[in-house]
Amino acid sequence: MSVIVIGEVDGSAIKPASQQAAALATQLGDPIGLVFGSTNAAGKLATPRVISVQGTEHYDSLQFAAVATQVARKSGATSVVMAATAMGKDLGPRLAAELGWSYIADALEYDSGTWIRPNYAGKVLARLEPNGPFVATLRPNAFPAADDTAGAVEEFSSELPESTTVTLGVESAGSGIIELTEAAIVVSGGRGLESPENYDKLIRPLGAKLDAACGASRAIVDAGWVSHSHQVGQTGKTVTPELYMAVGISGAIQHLGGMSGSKCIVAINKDPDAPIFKVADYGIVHDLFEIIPELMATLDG
Amino acid sequence: MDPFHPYFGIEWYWLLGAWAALSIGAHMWQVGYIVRLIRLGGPDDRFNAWPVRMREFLRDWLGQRKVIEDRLAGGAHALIFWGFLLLVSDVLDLGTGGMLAVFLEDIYLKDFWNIVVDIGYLLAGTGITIALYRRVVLRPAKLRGASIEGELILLAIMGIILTAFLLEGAAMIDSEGALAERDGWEPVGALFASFMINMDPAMLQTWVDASFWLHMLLIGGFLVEIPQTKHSHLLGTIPNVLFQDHAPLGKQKPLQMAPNGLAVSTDDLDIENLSLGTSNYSDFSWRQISDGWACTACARCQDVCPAFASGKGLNPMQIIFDVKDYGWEHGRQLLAGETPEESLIDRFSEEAIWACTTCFACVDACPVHIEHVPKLTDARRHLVMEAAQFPNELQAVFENLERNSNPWGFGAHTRGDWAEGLELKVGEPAEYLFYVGCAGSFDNRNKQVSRTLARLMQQADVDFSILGETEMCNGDLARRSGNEFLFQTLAEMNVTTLQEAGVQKIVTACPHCFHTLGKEYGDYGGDFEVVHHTQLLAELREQGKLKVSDRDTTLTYHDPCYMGRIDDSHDAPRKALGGEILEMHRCRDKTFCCGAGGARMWVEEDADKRVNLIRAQEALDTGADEVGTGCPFCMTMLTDGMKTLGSETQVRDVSEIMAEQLEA
Amino acid sequence: MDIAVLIKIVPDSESRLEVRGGKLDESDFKYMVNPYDEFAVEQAVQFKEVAGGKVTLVALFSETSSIDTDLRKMLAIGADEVIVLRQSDYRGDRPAGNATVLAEALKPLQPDLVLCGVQGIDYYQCATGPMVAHQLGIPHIASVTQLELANDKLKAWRQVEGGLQVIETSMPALITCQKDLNKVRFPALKDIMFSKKKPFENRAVPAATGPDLTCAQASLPPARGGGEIIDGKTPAEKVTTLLSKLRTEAKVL
Repeated sequence: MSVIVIGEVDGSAIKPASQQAAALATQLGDPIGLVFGSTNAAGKLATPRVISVQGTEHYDSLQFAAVATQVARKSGATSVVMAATAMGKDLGPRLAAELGWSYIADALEYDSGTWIRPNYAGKVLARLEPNGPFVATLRPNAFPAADDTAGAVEEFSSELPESTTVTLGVESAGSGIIELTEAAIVVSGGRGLESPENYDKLIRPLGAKLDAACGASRAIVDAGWVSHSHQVGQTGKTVTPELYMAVGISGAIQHLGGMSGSKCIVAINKDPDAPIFKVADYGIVHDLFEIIPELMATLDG
Repeated sequence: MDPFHPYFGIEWYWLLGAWAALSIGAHMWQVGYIVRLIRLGGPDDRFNAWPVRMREFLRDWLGQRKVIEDRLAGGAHALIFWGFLLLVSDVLDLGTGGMLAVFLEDIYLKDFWNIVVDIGYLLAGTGITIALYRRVVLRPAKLRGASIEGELILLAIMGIILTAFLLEGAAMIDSEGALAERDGWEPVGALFASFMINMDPAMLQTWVDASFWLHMLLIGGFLVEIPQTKHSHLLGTIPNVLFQDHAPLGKQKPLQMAPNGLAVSTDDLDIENLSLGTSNYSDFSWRQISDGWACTACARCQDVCPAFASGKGLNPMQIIFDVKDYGWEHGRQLLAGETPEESLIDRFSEEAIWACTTCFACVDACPVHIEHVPKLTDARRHLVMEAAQFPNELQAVFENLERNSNPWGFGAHTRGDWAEGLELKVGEPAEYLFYVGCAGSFDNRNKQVSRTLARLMQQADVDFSILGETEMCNGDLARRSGNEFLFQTLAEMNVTTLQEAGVQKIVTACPHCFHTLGKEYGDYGGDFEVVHHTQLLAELREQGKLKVSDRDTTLTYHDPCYMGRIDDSHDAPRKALGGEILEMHRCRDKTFCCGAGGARMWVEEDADKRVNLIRAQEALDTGADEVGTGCPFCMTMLTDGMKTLGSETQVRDVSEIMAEQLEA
Repeated sequence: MDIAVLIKIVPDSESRLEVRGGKLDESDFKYMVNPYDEFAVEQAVQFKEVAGGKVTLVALFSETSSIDTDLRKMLAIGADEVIVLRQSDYRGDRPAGNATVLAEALKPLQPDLVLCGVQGIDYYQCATGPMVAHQLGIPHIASVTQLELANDKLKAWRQVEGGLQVIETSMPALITCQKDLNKVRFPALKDIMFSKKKPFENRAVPAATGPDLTCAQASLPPARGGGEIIDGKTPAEKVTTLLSKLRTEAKVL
């Protein structure tokens, strides 16, 4: 039984999250890769075969869904997997609807036909056992990744379906800004920073030193210190980095919902009763205005 | 020598009569205009409790009770006022060419009347002198920038007094300039006479004539000017003091009252046809409008207002000026039944309306019982419920209150979690219900206070229980910020919960809960006996149920507005605390607000306009080792204030301070 | 321009979550309008204020009436009418089945634009919107933080990693709304009362069908225990200890 693995390209590399999907796919059947975009990077997707679709620089929901449907039907696949990225969360359900298949969103675990996904922002885990064909998106960093391969790449043979939407361009958030949901290390700041200037003085440089993405608690996003794209939490982004540093964040339950999936949590807060210490693996109870500069100095040395 | 002779061939009484008609006519016309404006206002039934009102009137109007709280300015005013009452009949005598004196002589009262009038002019003259001295020599800071109108009026009254004495003295001198009669009952007149004998009679006659007409011109001038300037208080204070508010200070009124004396329930309210709050001039009650003409511009309200002190765009005195000025400016349109383009809310300015903390210091300070705060909270009702224009921060607060019955939006089912491990009675009958409140249930710092208080009560064997999950916010926050409908919804639900639980006595650690549950829930059928925890703790200490030793540290106590001033109770916390207390200058019923009231706790403040910093600095200035308080919001604001000022001084609740001193 | 807004009714985010016998106990749940759908209502009303037309709210829920007040609040924001599809066995985790029912109700409305929230705060699947678009045979743009109407076209800013993709589409189209799209206005009490007069239709719809998977078992995630508070007399000491542990113990640096 084949399984289609839809991979995403990032520059000249395949996204790690897509390699995670490729690795998992081996448990579901014979993987066939499908990549929209670059032929060079497409080959790195860790599937024996990779179909590359040229002429698709930007995501287009109707076009991509039509192509993926064709590939799935032609190959007689019984499942499709991809990373739950912006594209995955958008393409996944549309594709499932077009194919008429079940949809599993943002999976955390898979074992012999049983999937686990988060409900209620991760406060409840649901077990799903599909007994028919399905489309699944996987939470980035929840599964181990396969290594890059140098496999054979075929070009998508049919005509690209007509597009009804036009991408006018992409407005980037700024060069060098690491995307929160994809980062291996995240440094987040909260109310304890006391002023927006301190976010720029302490969090951003620390983030730069650690090669980390910068996040924020809802409190300071609401206060206008940073834009919503920095928000980690229930109504912001869910992050799953290897290391999450919460600086001056008390740990309200809404924030925890966005980062509790991190592998290792470090909390720096001068209030020993802050709830964040209940979930942190390591905590420093100290004034962050003394710790952060010290941390940056030590990392330099 | 007298002025009662023809001038330019016309008898003096025709000339005086014409001037009197003119000035009295102008006066009456203006007064009539003002009365018509006031009658545009909505109903407010204060035509009751006449014996009490007469007593209050005598005490406050005649006795100048609140006026003399300011010793210097108030004392001067009292002298002028009492003097005026004693001398006012003199104009009848002067205006009738002495016929009043003749009449009184017939009933043997003339001498008594003479001395009374002289004393009156003397008192007034003394008061004016003191007032002028204050204005011109002392120049207090609050008068800086005041217009010259004040000095001019004082000098004009002095003119009336001096001309009166001159006329009095002259009446004792005959046409040759010699002393004709020596009236022992008019000592000041006699004094003046002694300087006027041996004056050239023709010159003296000129002085007499001039004095008479100056006297009458000034009086007539006053009659014309009284309705327009701050002198309108001569008239306005009478209804203001007579019809002062008998409801408990700080109590707001429900949207609509039913004949049975309770509020119309939310299900039955005819929202579509009800005016929610005030936007038009006529939405305000007649009493709210008449305030405009009672104001004497004494600026005592301005002096005590925390919003004004912190540089926000609210000046309570300006609000009252606005009520008067708006009436004058748009009077014609208003009386024609039209709605001016500028609303009274526009005049107040939304910034001013939202800056108020409802601390009621202005109302408390006002000598003539002006009610500033209700104008602002009524305007808030319109802004929230009709115009939906209010500070952004309150939107989330309202939604949280609706959904989870607490302003922060924590899950309602976690409300009782603060008591974990304390083994308290939850939802069971007991002598007291400990109404914890939102801050005490959800705010980390205040949860500590709730726990401490619970343990103290357990130690003293007080029989109490808590509601736990079923407790809801009492709604104070919604009411003070103008969301009256939300308040009533919460109040009705709470009353049902409390009644079903058979609650009769409530103890609470939050003054806002204390106020709302005790004084405002009655309108919704909830009659409970509510005590503040400092009151209970004081009682327990006095009864020996809690053995507390005195501290060896010094402490200053910050009276929460809703206890110290609005409930006028401030002995209990001091009794509960014992030991040495270094009072702040503004303490007890003159306490200075922490800045959190009126929903300000949830609204952003500019960094240089923080009320809590002013108060925190005051506390530090006492030099006390620590600060005590009895309110979760004061606790938060003062603690924040200390941190911002860089001080390590602790702010603690009365219960926490007592717990530390508890003898084993 | 006629706009349809899809409204999901979700359990209050602060509801108590208890699992009994492998099933989530939903008996105590209080319900509310999905916050992301509120952005959609606000956006629809903003477009109506500029371009005219009608705004119809379409909600799908069980037969419980307890959400009528919340829906009226949405009407009070400025929508013209609401259709509540009542389904006896409604569940929020059946995007395909729900999309079918919603699409059926939308077809006769022939809206130029369909708006809904990017995700529901119950299941966070981001699925219903795209699935409805498929059923209607119209394009969709998901997770939009800015939306502009120009001539007869829509310009949408779609959230992607590292920025925003700017897409132009003609209508009819479906847009799913993300936070930051707009600020939802607070309706005045009078508007809420007045909205009692606006058309409010309850319509029974058939039971759900489709390939949706049912949750075989619900469980609570393992509680994450607290870890170690780093000791140290000086900031320098604490920092050094932390870094060493992150390198050697946790192996994340």
